[in-house]
Amino acid sequence: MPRIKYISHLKIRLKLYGCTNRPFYHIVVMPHKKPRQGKELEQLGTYDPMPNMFNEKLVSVNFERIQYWLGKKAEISRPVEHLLGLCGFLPIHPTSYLEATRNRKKMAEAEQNKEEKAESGS
Amino acid sequence: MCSQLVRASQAVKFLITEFPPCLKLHNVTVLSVRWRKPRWVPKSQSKLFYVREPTAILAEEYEMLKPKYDAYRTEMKALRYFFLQANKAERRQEIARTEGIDAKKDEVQHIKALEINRKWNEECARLREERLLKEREKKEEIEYHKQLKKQQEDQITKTETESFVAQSLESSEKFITMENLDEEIEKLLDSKTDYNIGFRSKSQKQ
Repeated sequence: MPRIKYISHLKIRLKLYGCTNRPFYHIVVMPHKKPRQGKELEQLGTYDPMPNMFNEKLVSVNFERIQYWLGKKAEISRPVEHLLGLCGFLPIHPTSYLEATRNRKKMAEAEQNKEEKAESGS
Repeated sequence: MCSQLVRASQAVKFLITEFPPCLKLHNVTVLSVRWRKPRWVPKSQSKLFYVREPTAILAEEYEMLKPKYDAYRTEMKALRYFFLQANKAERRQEIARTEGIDAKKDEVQHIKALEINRKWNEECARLREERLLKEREKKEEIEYHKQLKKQQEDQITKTETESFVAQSLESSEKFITMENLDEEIEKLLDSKTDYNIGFRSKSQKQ
């Protein structure tokens, strides 16, 4: 017998709203086979990926309901896992660490390049 | 061999269900991955011998991610279990809370229901008695009429029989007995009946 992994039919994921060049998401729970814009079972929060005037990406989450749906064996999609990790509700997702390390590396490189340029310039 | 083929086709069928309906093929053993180009367009010259190189995984990144992923997954598993138990506990509490209330409600409702039932029963009994009384009266009337009719019929038969008996008694006086047999024979012998009417000119008996 092949071992079949349990696949929950519920998924907590992002539903795209907004318009051209202005994305906005709802965090929703819905059956995993439904299309992205399908009818959700419940909205659990919002996510605005565009930084506002204070350079903030705003997220609002209903933690109680997320707890409830997780208790109902709902799966979470990668981006939402990422968000919830950064919220401090779930453990931080490894890809967040990866992104951070890569960014740090990039920044260090940029700084090094700057220093080199300054040295060569002087 | 055949069973293997069937299994393979079923596996591919399962895969196909994940794709949009326009890509669902009738022959389930063929899985089209050409999303944009039609089937008959050949592979482009530049991509003829192209093999995609898998995305490189840096050793240091892998080393960093592996334990983190393990820890993350175990933690998530634990959290899921915790939330499941929390949900269950909440459900149990809800049941326990509502059970007591329901029991009290049920008791009050039961008493109310009994009262309604008693009233209904009384009403039913009253109606039934009225109905039975009516039925009995009707039955008695019918019976009385039947009796009357029977009496009349009996009377008629009685009178009929009486008259019949009287008539027969009257007629019995003229009966032929052994005593007056000879007389009667003599009488008969004496009486002549002439059938020669037709032979006479004026159709007279004598």
